[in-house]
Amino acid sequence: MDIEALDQTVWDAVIAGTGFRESLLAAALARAGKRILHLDRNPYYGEEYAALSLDELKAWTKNVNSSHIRSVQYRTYPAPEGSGLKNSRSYTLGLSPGLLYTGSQILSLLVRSNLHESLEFLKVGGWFVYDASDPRSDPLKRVPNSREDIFNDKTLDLRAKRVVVRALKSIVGSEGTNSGIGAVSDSVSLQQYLEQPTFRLPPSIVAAFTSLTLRHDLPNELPFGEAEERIKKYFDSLGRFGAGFSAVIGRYASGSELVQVLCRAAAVTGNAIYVLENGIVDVHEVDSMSPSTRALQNECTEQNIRVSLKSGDVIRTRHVVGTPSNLPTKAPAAQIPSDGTGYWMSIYVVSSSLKRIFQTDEPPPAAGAIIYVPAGSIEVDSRSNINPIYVVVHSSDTGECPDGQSILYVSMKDTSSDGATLFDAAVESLLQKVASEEGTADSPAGHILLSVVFKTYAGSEPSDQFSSGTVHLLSHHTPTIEIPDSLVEQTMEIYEKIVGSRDAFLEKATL
Amino acid sequence: MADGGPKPSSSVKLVLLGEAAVGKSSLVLRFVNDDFQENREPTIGAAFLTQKCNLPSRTIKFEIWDTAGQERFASLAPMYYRNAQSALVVYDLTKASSLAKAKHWVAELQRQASPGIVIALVGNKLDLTNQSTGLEGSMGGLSLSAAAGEGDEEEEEEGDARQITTAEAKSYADEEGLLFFETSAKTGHNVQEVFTAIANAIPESTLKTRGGPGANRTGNSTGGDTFGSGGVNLSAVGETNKDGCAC
Repeated sequence: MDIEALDQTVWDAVIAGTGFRESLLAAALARAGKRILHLDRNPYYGEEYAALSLDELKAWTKNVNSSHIRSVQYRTYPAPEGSGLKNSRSYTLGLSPGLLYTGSQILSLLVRSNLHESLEFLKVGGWFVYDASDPRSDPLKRVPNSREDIFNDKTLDLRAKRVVVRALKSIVGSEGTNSGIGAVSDSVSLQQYLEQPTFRLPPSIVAAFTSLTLRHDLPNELPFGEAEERIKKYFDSLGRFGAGFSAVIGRYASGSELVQVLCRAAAVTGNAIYVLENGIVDVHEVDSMSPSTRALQNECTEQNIRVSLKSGDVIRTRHVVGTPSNLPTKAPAAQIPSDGTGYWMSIYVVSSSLKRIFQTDEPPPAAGAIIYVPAGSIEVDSRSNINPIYVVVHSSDTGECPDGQSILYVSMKDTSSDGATLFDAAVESLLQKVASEEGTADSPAGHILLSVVFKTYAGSEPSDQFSSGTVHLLSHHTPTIEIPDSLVEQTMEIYEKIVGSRDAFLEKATL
Repeated sequence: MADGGPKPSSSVKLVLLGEAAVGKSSLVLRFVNDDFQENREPTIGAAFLTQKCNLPSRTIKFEIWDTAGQERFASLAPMYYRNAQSALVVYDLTKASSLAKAKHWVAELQRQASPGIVIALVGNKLDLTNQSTGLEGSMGGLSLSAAAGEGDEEEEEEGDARQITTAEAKSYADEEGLLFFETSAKTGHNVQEVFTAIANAIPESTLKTRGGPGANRTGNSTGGDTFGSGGVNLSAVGETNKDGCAC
C-alpha cells in the first residue's frame, strides 16, 4: 500500500497508541491483510512501553500528561569522578520492561509467528527474598526452585523441609488433587493457606511463596486461588528452555523492544502505515447519525467511521481502537476512579554490576533477577513499607545501561506513602548489603546515579460509550511485572470482531 | 582453545536509509542474492533480510532492515534505527538532491541512534557514470576518489550522469567519520566491500553478548546455549532440561 495522503483510502482499522495490545493487534491485522493506520501522539514508539534514553526520559517526566500517571520525579545523584552517568543514549530505560514466563501464551505466540527471531531473550535467573533481620546471614535468600534446593537450605530443619515440599506439592498439584488438604474456600488468602495447621510455615517461607506470584498484594490479602495459579505458572515454566529459570526478558528493555518488533512486523507487510506525533481528536460514528442521514450515506460510505486527526486530516475507517487516553471520550476526561488501585513505579540506575545476583548454576549467566522485599523490611523515619516492594534488576547485558552499572525497576502498590523515599531507602540498603559483599578494595559498593519515580493508576474496565461496536475501547494500561497473557486475550477479542475469527492470529500471510 | 570449532558468530542489526529510488533495495538484493532487477517496484513499508558475512576471525550475520525511501510520514525510520549497530545511508550519485537527504539521515542517526553506530555513506549507480567501465584497477571505494575527482573536471561526456563528485562526498564522509563507498548495485561493484567494511568496523565490545569470545560453545551441554553467551534459544523447543519441576 503506497499512499500519498491518509484520506486516500478507507482503512480497515485506525489504531491510536503503540502500547503492547495496540501493536500486537496492528501486527496481527496487517498480517491478515487488513489495512491499518497506526498512530502515536508521541515522537517515539511504545507509550507506556516506551524505552527512552536519559534525555528522552527527562523530557518524558516533564511532559507526561496523563490522567493516570502522576507525581513524576526525575532525580540525579552526585557520584564520584568516573563512576557517574554516561552518555544519554547509552541508556535504554523501559517504562514497562515486563518479563515473560517461558510457559506463557505470549512467548509461544511469538515463536509460532517467528517473531522471536527479531528478539534476543535473556534469562531471569535468581528470585530472591530480601531479609536483613539477621545481620550475620546473607540478606538475599534465594527462593528454592526444586526439592533439592529445599533440602539443601540450611535455614530449615528437617521437619520444615518436609512441610515446605508438601505445601509445594499441594499447590503445584503434581497429583492433580490437593493432596487431601481439602477444598479451599475462595476467601482464604495465600498466607492463611500456608499457615494452616497442616503446614504452619514460617514467615520466610510465606514470603518465598508470595514472591513467586509477582503480585504487589500482601500475602494475607492475596486470594489463594489467584496465588496458586501464579505459583503454578512459575513452576510450569521452570526448565522449559534450560535448567533453573522460568522467565526471560528481551534485550533492550523487554516489553519495550517487543512493542517495536510488533510494529516492525506490521510495517513490513506493507499493510500498515505508521505516523508518529499524530492522534485522534474526534470520532464520528455512523450510528450516531439519524437514520435518514445514514440511509443517504449508506451507498457510498458503507459502515465507515469518520475520524478527525490532530494533523487536520479527516479519514475513513471501519474500526477504531485505542485506550481512553488516546480516544476522545464523551464522558469528562478519564478521571482516576476513587477505588482505582495506585502503584508507585520507578527506574533506578546504579553504579554496580550487582554480579552476584546474576550468578546461575548453569551458563549462560542471567541478565535479570527478582528481589521481593516483604512489607515492613524497609524503614524510613520510623515508618516502614506497608506493602511488599518488588525490585526487578536488569544487568548491562540487556543493553539498557553501560557496563558496570545496572537498572533496578522498583514498584509497590499503594500511593499513600512516599514512594520515592521508600524506594531510595530500599535501593540503598540493597546496594549496601549486596554490593558491599562482593565489593573489594578496588570495587566499592555502588550508589544510585539516577531515579525516576512516578505514581500510576490501574484502569478499571472502560465503559463502552460508543454505540456501533466498531470503536473498540481498551482498558488503561495496568502496571505489572510480567507481560500478562490476558493482554493477548484482550487483543484477540478485538481481532475477532474485526476479522471474524481468531484463526491464524499473527501468523504470517502466505501470499 | 577454540581450535577446529566453528567461528564465533554475531548478529549485527543494519538499517538502510536514503531518498526514494537511490537503490537501497537493489544494494541489498545484490548483497544477499547477487542479483539485480531493472525497474524494481518501490519498497513499501520496509523489508527484512539476513545475510552472513565471513570475516577471518568471526562470522557476522547481518539483520538488514530496508526502509521505504518514499515513506511519506517519516515515522518508520525511528523504529528501524533503534538499537541498530550499523547504518547504510545511500544516495544516488547522479542526483544532487539525494546527497542532501543522505546528510539529513546522517544527522538524525548521530542525534538519535546508538552512540557507537557504524555509518557507511554509499553513492550508488556508479554504472551511470564514466567510471563504470574503468573499475578494474580500483580495489576499494576509497582508491577511486583521486581518479574520480579529476575525471569529472576533464570530461563531461555524454552518458556521464554524475552530479556528485567523489571528492565532495568523500570530504563530507571524512568530516563526519563515516565509511565511504561508491557502488553499483547493477554491476555489483563495491557492494560486498561495503558490508565487509561495516562488519570490520563494528567494535568487538558491542558484539560480546551475542556470542563473542567466552561464548559457551562446547557443544556437549544440552539445551539452549547455541545462541551465544547470553541468549536463550527459544527455537530449540527441546524440553531436555525439564528437570526443574519441584516435585
